[in-house]
Amino acid sequence: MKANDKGCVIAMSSMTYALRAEGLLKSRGMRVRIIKLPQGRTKKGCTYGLEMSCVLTGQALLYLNEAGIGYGELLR
Amino acid sequence: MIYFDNGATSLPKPPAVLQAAVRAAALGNPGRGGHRLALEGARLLYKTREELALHFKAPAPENVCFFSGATEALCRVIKSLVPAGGRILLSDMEHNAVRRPALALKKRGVRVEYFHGYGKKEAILSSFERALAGKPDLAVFIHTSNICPQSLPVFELCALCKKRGVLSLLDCAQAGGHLPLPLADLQADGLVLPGHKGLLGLQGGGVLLCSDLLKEALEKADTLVEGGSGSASLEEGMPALLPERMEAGTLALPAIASLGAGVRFVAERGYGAIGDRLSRLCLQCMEGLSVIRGVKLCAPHAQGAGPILFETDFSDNASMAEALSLAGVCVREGLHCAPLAHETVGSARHGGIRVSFSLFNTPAQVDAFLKLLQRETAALY
Repeated sequence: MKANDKGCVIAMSSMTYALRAEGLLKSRGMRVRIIKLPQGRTKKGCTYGLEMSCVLTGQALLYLNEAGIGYGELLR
Repeated sequence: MIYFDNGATSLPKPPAVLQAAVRAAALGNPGRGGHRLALEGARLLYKTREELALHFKAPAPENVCFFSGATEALCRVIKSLVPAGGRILLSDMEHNAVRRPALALKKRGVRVEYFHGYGKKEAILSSFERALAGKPDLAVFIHTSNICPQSLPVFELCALCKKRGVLSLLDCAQAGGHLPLPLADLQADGLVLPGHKGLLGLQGGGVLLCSDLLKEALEKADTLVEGGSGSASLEEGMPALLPERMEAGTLALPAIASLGAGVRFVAERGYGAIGDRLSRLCLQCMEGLSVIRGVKLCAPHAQGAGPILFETDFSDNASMAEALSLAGVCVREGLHCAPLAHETVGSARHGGIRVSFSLFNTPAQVDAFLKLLQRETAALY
C-alpha cells in the first residue's frame, strides 16, 4: 500500500502494542504500517494505528485476537 | 589506572555500547509523533524491549519497563504495590534503594519486616519462611550483595513466595550481567536491573522485567508519576497498560539503547566465561588480602558471589582509599549506600573498602593492587 492510499486503520492502545501488532502481522505476510492518527479520529486523543488495505482487516483482527493483542477502534 | 569500582558503575564501556548510544541520540522521541525519526526511535525502544524480554525470559516485550535507573524502578514498584497499613518484607542486606522507599511507607502505616540474608542458605531460608508467615504484600530482596560476596538463595526464596501467594521483587543491581537471570525459571515476579553496572550500559537507564502477575498488579495500582505518554492524551490518567503506564515522560533512549548493546555484548561473551573470570579474580584478591599484615577481610560468613570488603588496622578507610586512588587504583570506601547490610555483617561502625570487578579486569591488575596495598600498609607500621 502506498503512503497516500486511503486504507483502513486499526487503532492501537499504545506504540508498544502497535509495534507488537505490526511485527505479528508482517510475520504473517501482511503489508501494514504504523501511522499516527489525525486528531479527532478517536475518542482518546493521540493514538497510533495500523494502516492496511481494508480487505485485510478481518484477517488482521483474527491474528490479533489469537495472539491476545488488544486493539481499539477499526477506522475506515 | 586500575578500576575496581564496578559495583558503582562499570568501566570501561565496550565500544559497541557507546556507538549504540550515539546512534540513538540522533533519533526522535519514541511514541511522540509519526515522523520518520520518532518512529525509528520507537522501533529501537521496542527492539530493546524484545531483546531484554528474550534474554531475561520475561513473558513479552510489554513486560519490560524502563526507568532512569534501578532505584526508580524499585521505588515505583514498592510504593505502587504496598497499600496503606500493609506489610513489606526485606532482607537485612538491602541497599538504600530498597530500604528507604520501604521505610518511607511507614508514614502510611506500613509495617516493614526483615529476614536474615547473611550467611548460610539454610539459615536464610528458615528466617524467610518465618517472616513469610506474616503474609507481606510484597517481598523485596537483593540477588547479590553490593558490599560483600553474599548471594541469596533466590530460586528457593521466589518459590516460597509463589507457594504463599506473595509477590517477589529481586534487586539484581550487582548480579545483572554476571550470571543468567531468567525471570521465568526463577519464578520471580519482578527483576530490577540498572543498565550501567554489569550490563555495561550508560548511566540513566534501568529496567523492570515483570511476570504477568506483577504486570497485572501494576496496571491495577494507582500511578505514582503522571505525564506525557504519547497516547490516549485526552484521558486524565496514564494509559491503562504497561509499559506506558509506568513510563511517564521522555525516556533516556541513548541509555536504553546502550543497555541493549550491553546485553548483546554480555551474551556474546557468555555467562560461563564471565562468571569464571569474576570468580577467579575474587579468589585471587581474597587470598592476597588475607596474607597482608594489618588487612582484615570483612563479612567473613558471606557465601556466594559479589564484591570484596576489607579494612586496615592502621588507617581509616577514607585515607587508605585516597592513597590507593593517588597511586592509580579506584576502590570505594564507606557504607556503599547500604548501612543496613553493613550493620548485618558487622562493619557499620567504620564501613569498609570495597573492591568490585568487571569482566575487563585482569589477574595482573589484582596483583598490582595487592602489591600496592602491601606497600601502603607496610609504610604505616
